[in-house]
Amino acid sequence: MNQLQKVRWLARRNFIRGSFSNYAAMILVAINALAFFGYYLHRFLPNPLYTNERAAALQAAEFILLVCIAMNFLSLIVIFWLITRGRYHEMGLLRGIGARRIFIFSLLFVETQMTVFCGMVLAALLGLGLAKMGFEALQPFFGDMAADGAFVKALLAFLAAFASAEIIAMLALLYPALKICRIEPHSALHNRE
Amino acid sequence: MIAKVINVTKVYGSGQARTEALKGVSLDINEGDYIGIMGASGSGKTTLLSIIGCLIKPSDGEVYFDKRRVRDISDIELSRLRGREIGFVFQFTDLLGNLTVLENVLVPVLFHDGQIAEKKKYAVQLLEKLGLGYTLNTRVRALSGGERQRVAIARSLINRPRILLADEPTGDLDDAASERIMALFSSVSAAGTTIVFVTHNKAFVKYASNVYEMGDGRIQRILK
Repeated sequence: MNQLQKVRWLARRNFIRGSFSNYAAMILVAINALAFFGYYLHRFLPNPLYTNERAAALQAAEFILLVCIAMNFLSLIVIFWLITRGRYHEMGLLRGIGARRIFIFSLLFVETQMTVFCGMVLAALLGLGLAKMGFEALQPFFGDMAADGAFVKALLAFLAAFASAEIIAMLALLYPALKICRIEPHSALHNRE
Repeated sequence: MIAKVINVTKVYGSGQARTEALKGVSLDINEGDYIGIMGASGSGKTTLLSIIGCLIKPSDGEVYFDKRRVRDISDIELSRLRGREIGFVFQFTDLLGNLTVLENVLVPVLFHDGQIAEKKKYAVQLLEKLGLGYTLNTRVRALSGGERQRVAIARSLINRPRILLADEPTGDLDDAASERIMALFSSVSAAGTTIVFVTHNKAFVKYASNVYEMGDGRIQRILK
C-alpha cells in the first residue's frame, strides 16, 4: 500500500459517509459542468440558420452561462471553505497523530476528485436528458444534426465541460486546502469550535 | 534518555490575553519510565505533555527528543516522530466520526511504513484486550464516552510507540474501567514502552514509578 493508496483508503471512507456540504459541492460541480456543456455545445455545433436576432439571443445565453460559471466558482470556494473549516479539528487530529501536510492536502484533493466525478455523473445524466429534449426542439430549425456529426461534437463538448468543471473545482479547493494544511495540531485539538 | 525538557516556558497570546502556561519546567524522561503528572486544571499539565509530544514548540527553553533538539527538527520529521515514536491519547478522546472503531484504530498506520492489512490483526487484539471486541465495525458516533476513550487508547498503541502520552486517559471512565485502563498501561510499560500520563485522580499515583505535581505552570513537588 503506497501513500496514494493510503490517502484513498481514508478519502473513500470519508466520502461515502460524507456531509451535506459534500453533496452541495457535488450539485454545484454538476451545475457547473452543465453550464460549460451548454457553452461548448454552442461553440462546437454549426449554426446554419442564424438570424441576427438569434445570434444576439445565443450570445446573451452564452454570457449568462459564463456568469453562472463564475458564480458557481465563488460558491464552490465558499463550500470548500466551509467543508475544511468544519474539519479543522479532524485535520488537527490527523496532524497530531503523524499526518504530514502533504497527506492532508492529498486527502482533500482526492475527496474533491470523488466529488467532481459524482458531479459529472449527475451532470451527464441530466445533460443527456436535456440534450435529447434540446435536439428534438431544435430539429425543425437545424435539421437532423446527428447527420452532421453532432454526436461527436456533443461528446467533445462534454469532455471539455468535464475538464473545465474539474479545473474550476480544483482552483476553488486550492486556497481552503492550503490554509487547513498549515494548522498547528495543538491549537486545532484544543480550540473546540 | 528518550526526552529531556530544560527550563521550558510557554506563553500563549499577547498583550492582555497573554497567558504563561509553563514557567521554567525541567523534566527528564528515560526509556521505560512510567510517569504520572498531577495537578489542578490550568496548572500546565496538558501544555507540558504537548511539548514533550512535539505538538508545540516552547516559547523559551529547550526540548530534546531522542537526543535531538526539537527546535531544529523540520515539520516533516516532527510528523514522522509523532506517527512512529509517539502514541497520543488526547484529552477529548478525539476520534474520526466517519470511521468505524477498527478503522479509527488503524488510522495511524497510514502515517507509518506498516500496512493496514498487516496491522488489522493487532488492532483487533488490542480492541479485544480493551473489551471492545464486539464493536469492531460500529461507527464511533454510536459509542459511549468510555468506549470512545478505549478506542483512542487502542489507536495510540497500534504503531507500538516508544513513548505513550496520555492526557486524562481515564477522564470519561467509571472506576472499574479506569482501573482496567491503568492496568493495561502497566502491562504496556512492563513491555518497555515509556508512559507519561496526566491525571487529576490521586488514586492512579500507585501505578506510576515517578509522579510530579504541577501548579501555576511549574513542577511544585515530586510525589514519588
